[in-house]
Order: sequence, then C-alpha cells, then structure tokens
Amino acid sequence: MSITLLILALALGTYTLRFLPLTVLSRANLPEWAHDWLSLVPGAVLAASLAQSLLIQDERLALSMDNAFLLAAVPTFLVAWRTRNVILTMLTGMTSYALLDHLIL
Amino acid sequence: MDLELQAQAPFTSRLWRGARATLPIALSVVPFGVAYGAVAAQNMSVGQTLLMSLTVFAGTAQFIAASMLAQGASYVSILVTGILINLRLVLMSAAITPHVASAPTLRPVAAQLLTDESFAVSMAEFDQRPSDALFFVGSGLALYIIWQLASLTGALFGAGIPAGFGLEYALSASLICLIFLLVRGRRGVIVALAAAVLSLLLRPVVTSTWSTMVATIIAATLGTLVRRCR
Repeated sequence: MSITLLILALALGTYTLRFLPLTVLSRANLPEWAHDWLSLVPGAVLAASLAQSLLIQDERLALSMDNAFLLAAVPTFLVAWRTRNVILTMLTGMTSYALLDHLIL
Repeated sequence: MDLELQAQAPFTSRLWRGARATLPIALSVVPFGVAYGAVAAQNMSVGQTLLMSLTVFAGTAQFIAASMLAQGASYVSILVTGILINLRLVLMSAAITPHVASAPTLRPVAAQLLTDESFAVSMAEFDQRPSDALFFVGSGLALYIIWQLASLTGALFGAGIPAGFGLEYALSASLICLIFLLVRGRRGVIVALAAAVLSLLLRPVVTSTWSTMVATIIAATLGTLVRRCR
C-alpha cells in the first residue's frame, strides 16, 4: 500500500465517521458509557504516542540521561503548563532539543 | 427551499458570521498546521502532505499518522489508529445533526468540515441563537482554508530548515501542546498516563507498531469501567 492510498483510506474512513450520523444514525442515541469511552480516547492516543516518540530510540527503550528527546520534554512541559501558549511551547521544545543535542550531549 | 424559509440575512453574510466567530480559534490552529506540514513532509511528498490536509482534515489524526510514519509503523496500524482517534467525530456529528437538518443539500459539505473547533464554536452559537447550517459551514470553511495554508507553509518551509534547529522535536512539542489542550480532569490524566506506560510495556508483547492502539483501548476501557463501578 502506498502512502497516497493510506491517505485516501484514512480520508474515506474519517468522512464516513463524520457523515454517517448525519444520515442513517441521526436518531440513534449512544449510551453514556460510549460517550465516556470516546472522550478518553484522544488523550490516551496522544500520551501513548508521546511516550513512544520520547522514550523509544532506535527501536529500544531509552530511559537514560543522555536521551535529548526526554530531557527536552521537561522545559517543554513546564512552558505548556504555565503558558498554554502553542507557539511558545513549540519554540521551547525545539530550542531545548537543539541545544541539548548539539551542544551538551 | 428550506434555506429560503430560514434565511433572513443573505447567504454570504450568514457564512461570514460563522467564519468570523471562528477566526480567533482558527488562528490558534496555525502553529499546529505549520508543524504538521513540516513533520509530515519529512516522510511524504509536499503533495501528499497537502492531500492529507485536504481530504482527512483532522489535526490530531494527521499528527499521529505523521508521527507513526516517522516511527516506521505499518500502514494498516496507522490507518486503524487514525480511525480510532477520529471515532469521536461520530459523537459530534450526531450532536450537530439537528442544527444542520434544515439544509439537507449542505450535509455532505458540513460533514467534511466537522472538527473539534467548528463544533465548539457552533454549539456555543446555537446555544444563544437559532440554528443555522450556514453558520456552521462558514465556521468550517474558515478553519479549512487556514489549515490548508498552514500545512502548505509547513511542508514548503520545513524542508528548508537545516538540521540543528530542533525540527526533529516539532512533533513531540506539538503532542505535548495537544495533550494539555485535550486531556481533562484527574481521570483523564490517569488514563493518559496509563496509556503511555502501557504502550511502552506492550512493545515486546504486541508488535511494536500496534502498541499505541492496544494501550489506548485498554486505558480508555479501564477509565470507563472505573467510573461505572463507582
């Protein structure tokens, strides 16, 4: 499967999710637990994906003090938490990583 | 016809009202779009990066797809994880249905334009004033256009950034931002942490590319069960 096919498949799947309730499912009410479950999914996916991107280097767990990805997350988290500012957070992350990766480690 | 019955103000001014109400939040999406474009273009062509923005038009799923591509995940696992993230659109689509029901011809367009941001802005509006499908479409269009421009900028500009400027970190930093925006409440934090730890623990057990998805399903299910058992 090529990347273009993957994109189109994801687009088709996503469009189905958006369009179905507008047509056939419009009167179906989802049970409360389904609402609850779906509301927890995005945060869980993001956190799992972040864990993979910070802690897995070259297919192995990298829980050491010379993992620049992990170390740069500390200032990035602090800025995100304190400012809730997307641009500031991105700049902090990229700058911290560049400094750690090229100058220190 | 139903449009005419409902229409007091002209077509474009109703679209514009939705667009204007969405502009502040749409501008806050620009950095994500630029970062998505820059990250995605490392593993895809500029055309493919833009194609995903045009057709998928769902920021979080696009980010995860780009991130999983960078991690070398299989295409099937990327597809399944992307659909899993976008499952929440079903809920929003169901909730917005009564507000766009008066304009059946707009429904296919309204569906494609459904995002967290437009949903939030429109539901807030319809809480105060009468439902208007054109308001929702205007809101969606504003976000759609800005998302395309931001993705394209990132894809073109990202390739020009030399190594050493921390571009490798754009994805992780974006994920951190999104986590702060999307994770709500103590239970949400615990579920997110559980998913993170599980995804690492599961790697040797499940094929590594599926660990994100399996960890998410387990953590969200546990979170739901905990609330039901209380």
